[in-house]
Amino acid sequence: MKYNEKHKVRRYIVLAVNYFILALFCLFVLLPYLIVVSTSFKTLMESTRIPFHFIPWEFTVDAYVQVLKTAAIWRGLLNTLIVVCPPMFVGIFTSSLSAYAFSKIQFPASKVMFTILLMTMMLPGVVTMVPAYVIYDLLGWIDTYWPLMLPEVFGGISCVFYLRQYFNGLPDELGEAARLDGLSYFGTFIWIFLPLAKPACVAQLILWFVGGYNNYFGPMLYLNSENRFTLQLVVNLMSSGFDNNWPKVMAATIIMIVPMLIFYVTMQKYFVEGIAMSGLKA
Amino acid sequence: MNRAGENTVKESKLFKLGMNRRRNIAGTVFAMSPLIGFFLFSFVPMCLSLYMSFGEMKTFDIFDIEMVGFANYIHIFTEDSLFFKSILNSFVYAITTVLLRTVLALLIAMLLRGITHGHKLISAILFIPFVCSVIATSVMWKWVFDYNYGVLNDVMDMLGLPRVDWLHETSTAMGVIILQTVWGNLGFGIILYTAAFAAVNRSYIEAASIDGASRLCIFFRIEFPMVSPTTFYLIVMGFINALQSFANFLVMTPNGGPDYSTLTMVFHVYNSAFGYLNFDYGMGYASALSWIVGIIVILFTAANFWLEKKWVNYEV
Repeated sequence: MKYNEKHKVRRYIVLAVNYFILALFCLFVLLPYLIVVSTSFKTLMESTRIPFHFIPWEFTVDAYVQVLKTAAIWRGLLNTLIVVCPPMFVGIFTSSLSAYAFSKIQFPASKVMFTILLMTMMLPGVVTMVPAYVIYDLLGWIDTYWPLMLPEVFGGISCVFYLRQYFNGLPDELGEAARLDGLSYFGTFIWIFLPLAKPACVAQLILWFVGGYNNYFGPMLYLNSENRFTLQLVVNLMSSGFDNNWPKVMAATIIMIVPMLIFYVTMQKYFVEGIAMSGLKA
Repeated sequence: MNRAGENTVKESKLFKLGMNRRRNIAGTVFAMSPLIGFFLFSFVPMCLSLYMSFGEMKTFDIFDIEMVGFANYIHIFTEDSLFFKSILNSFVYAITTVLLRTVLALLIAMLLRGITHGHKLISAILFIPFVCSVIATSVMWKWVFDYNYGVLNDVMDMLGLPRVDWLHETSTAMGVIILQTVWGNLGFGIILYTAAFAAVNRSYIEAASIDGASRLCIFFRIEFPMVSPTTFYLIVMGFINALQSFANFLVMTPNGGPDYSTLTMVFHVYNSAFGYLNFDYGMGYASALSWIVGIIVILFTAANFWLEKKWVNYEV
């Protein structure tokens, strides 16, 4: 009895300490967001008041209105969608077709090709940065969307790994039965396996979209004209301007990340699965 | 009769051969596209890069190249003091961020196992920075560390300490970026560790605790070895990425920070090719530099895989 009581108390203390430390970490992660949100609702005058205070004295959404009235933001969003979406869908399709072949078709080159793919993942990308620019310059592709879109169409290597893993979990008999009924290999993929792999494809689409939406380096390197800028470049341009309108910069940042946050909150399951699996396969 | 039988055998063999050929063609063609992508957008540029690394280019035009032999490589090792500085910076950054992230993620994943409610909410919060772009997080952290209006300097005021220009001082700029990176990548590690812990067979732990093993002992002797593949993955992938990262550096400290204290290896390549150093160095030099950096990354990755055999346990 007494032992039990003591045990119980100790368990509660451990639990409380756990919660306390976790709360500290959450605060650490959230603090920059809270500071930015707070600043975005202040007036320009108030935003530069020292010391910083969390609750705005004069709560205003002016900064948001200003940002949303800026045409550049909307054009940036549109440009981002144009650059990211079409190649993404094609890329997921080619990735899953390739993953299906590696998983469900026994062809002689399978092993060699898969090993090559594995090795390419270990190659450092820095080596291609400089010559790729030279090639795109030669082709006249600088300041166009081609360098951002075309490589994506061929599919992502990590995406292929993930989807192959998923296909491996589906029974081979499904494909064999469909083949006996006269479906071609491509038909088997389209009608049998692709529909079954829908959850995996959705998970990869989400990760792909977030990656594309957040991509800064590629657009920064290849795009020069402001009317072709993606959303990231537009916000970056705003934040590095000389007028230092802090609430406006913060509002633009919030507006930029809100779609991703909504995306994340509603699709959390897919995020977690997609990432957990990519790690476990190693 | 006999002939007919032979014929059927022959025909079925032919049929089978045709089937096999169709299968092989379908498989190869379907599987091909990522390899084509790799060939066109990685392999071809890499070959070109190797060629360019032996030449001097004043413009982006590949035909405007003057071959100089090993001059670029010799220059890197004999005269480019920024090169050695950038290697040091990259390794300091990579080692600190990877270790901090891995240890903290492991710790938090352990703590998450010990609580009864709110598991999902907490891991969701900790993952938020992962979906935010480098631009967004840099705006935030620049604002927190701003000399005039930053919250951190308010705290320094309160403590009676002098204000610090965090991002423009040699001793602190790298620290800020390390903090930003660890903050941004915690969630990733936590998800991997949580999944790994879920896969650990509970009966080992129960057996050990019945035998009287302490909590600490269970962790170091059972749980840690069992999640070691995840630790290895986090460390290797972390190093490959951290050694090559520079977009965050570029946004936080354009040109490489105060006295080049945040100039990383890839940042140096970028500056030589596209940045302000382009006038002095050019694309040929940048190519040579990128090969050296690439080889460093590959050697380091290989060393990690060699070490893997010593401590990673794949028997679950």
